[in-house]
Amino acid sequence: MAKYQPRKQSGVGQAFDAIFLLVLVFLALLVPLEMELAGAAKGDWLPGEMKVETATDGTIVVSNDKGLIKRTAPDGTISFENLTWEALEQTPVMQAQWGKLDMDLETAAAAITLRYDYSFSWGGLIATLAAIAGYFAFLVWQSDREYRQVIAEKFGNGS
Amino acid sequence: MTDITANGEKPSSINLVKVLGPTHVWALGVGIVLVGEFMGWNYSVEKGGALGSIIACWIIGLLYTCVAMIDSEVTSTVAAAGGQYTQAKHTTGPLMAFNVGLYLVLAYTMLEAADIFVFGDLIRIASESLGAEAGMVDARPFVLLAVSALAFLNYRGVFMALSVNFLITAVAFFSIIVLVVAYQFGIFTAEPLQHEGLGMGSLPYGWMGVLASFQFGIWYYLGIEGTCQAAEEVRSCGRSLPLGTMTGMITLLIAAALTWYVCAGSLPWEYLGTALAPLYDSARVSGSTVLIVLLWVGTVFSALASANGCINDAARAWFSMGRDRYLPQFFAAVHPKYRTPYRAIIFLIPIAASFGFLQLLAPTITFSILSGLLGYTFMPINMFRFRGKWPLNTIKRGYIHPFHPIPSLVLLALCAATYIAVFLGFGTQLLAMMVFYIVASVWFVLFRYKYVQRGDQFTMAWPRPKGY
Repeated sequence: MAKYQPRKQSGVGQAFDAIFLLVLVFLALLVPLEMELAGAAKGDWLPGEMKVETATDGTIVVSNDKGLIKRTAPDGTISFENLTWEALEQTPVMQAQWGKLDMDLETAAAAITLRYDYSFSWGGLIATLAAIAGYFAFLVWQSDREYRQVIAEKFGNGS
Repeated sequence: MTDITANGEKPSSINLVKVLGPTHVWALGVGIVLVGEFMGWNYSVEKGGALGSIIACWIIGLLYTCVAMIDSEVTSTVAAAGGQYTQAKHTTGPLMAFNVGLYLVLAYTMLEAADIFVFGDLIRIASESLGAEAGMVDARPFVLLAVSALAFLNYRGVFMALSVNFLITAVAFFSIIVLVVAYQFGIFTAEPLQHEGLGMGSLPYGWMGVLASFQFGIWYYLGIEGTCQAAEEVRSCGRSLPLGTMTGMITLLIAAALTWYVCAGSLPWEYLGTALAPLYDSARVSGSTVLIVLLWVGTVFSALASANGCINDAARAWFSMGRDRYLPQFFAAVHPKYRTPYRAIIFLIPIAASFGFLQLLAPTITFSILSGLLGYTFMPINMFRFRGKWPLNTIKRGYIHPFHPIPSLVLLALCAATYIAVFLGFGTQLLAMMVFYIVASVWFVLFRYKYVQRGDQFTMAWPRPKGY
């Protein structure tokens, strides 16, 4: 097999290729942020039986069967009613550790009353897994074509 | 082997220099990864609770044990810079190698960005603890200074860079041991570990949370495969690489278990899941100044060691791709005196710094994890093709991993589970990032492969592969 003679790349061409890859990386980082693509998000959570309502002024009111109420105003301000460590099901040990971390009841409550919602779209999951599988299938197929050229040039044609 | 410079000629035989031993390999692998015990792993607690996190730690530990086994066999046989990238060239083909090279560069560059981001935050925390007004300290000059010092260290030579990494990684590992011993035996602190009182036996999200926590379970070990990047610079590749990699893996399994044990016994899980530096926080609640200072130092050292190792590894992968003309040849130069890939080192530093300074931490971590995971998915493909093309006894292997094909099949299954976990965490963001690799692949096939010298891609003195 005749040895393939690659073209020599100019300095400008080399600079262009390096910049092209860099731009691609930054786009891959920034586009998902701009498009606000996201996975599992955290939502309000209270121990026990939970009820969620929206008040006329847009405030989200979450309450449970123990009388604990969490209100999130449209501007994001959070307030609680009947808030105690016991209502948050925090043991005395937990309470002590929150204290050592310089976090009071209100601050700790803001962290404790948020939990992930893992509901997801099956369509999105299947599309993502299919894209990954298809990507690897293409890589192996195209690489194998190129690999045969490499082996033919290195070892000559025929096995 | 010779190096190709920017003008495409092969004017000299300036190579990377073989000066490293098993301790340097250990320092490279553990140095990159140990920061994951000081920050990042705990997000798996947020995903699935503390118990979910330790289950993820064990299962992902199994994934990495498979990675280390496969890597050790192939790398002990393919002794060249670029690690898995060079393996891909010899077992699968140029396009796969190009992609694997990108996984390596991006996983390490993004991890480096996260490291320097954390380093900046630790400077801020320390200055505020010493009395500075909150929000008034700009950590960026310190970050820039640290990154410049690490870049200079890497520029000057790999031996010194990884010797320093060994020292600071050892101090960081030692700080974890001291913290656990202090809590366990009441030294420096009277605080006991209280796993039961902190409710660590529950799964707040059930088994769905355990699956979701795989996403950050990767953070316990991400980067251990980077030991292979040292292949061209170790004195005895067949001995040093498997030894350094496997002892590194054992170190990380111990460090991960101890880290979980001490943090889960001292911090409420809702706090632990969102903490920036959980081991430091664990020292903080002990009330001991000695432990607080030690763990601050340990956390800073771990971040610097990781950034140092990432600079080393990303530059080797970038350099190797330049040498093969998968990327511009300009990056393929070796410093005539220090024998380092200095252009690749200098080029990648500002990129990592810009990711850190642009505060793109979340997508940066996402990209790093995804790139790592894609690289792990390649490894079973790599192993099957390697054993298929050169069955045992046809070429000399430095190390033969046992139980083939079980590790490859287990790795493939665990990668699939982790993709689902990453999807749960990042949703369609994952798909958007896949688009990057697909576009880059198309670009390589259409515009880059034409510069590649076909036969030069196969550099090992092996017989013709079976079936070709």
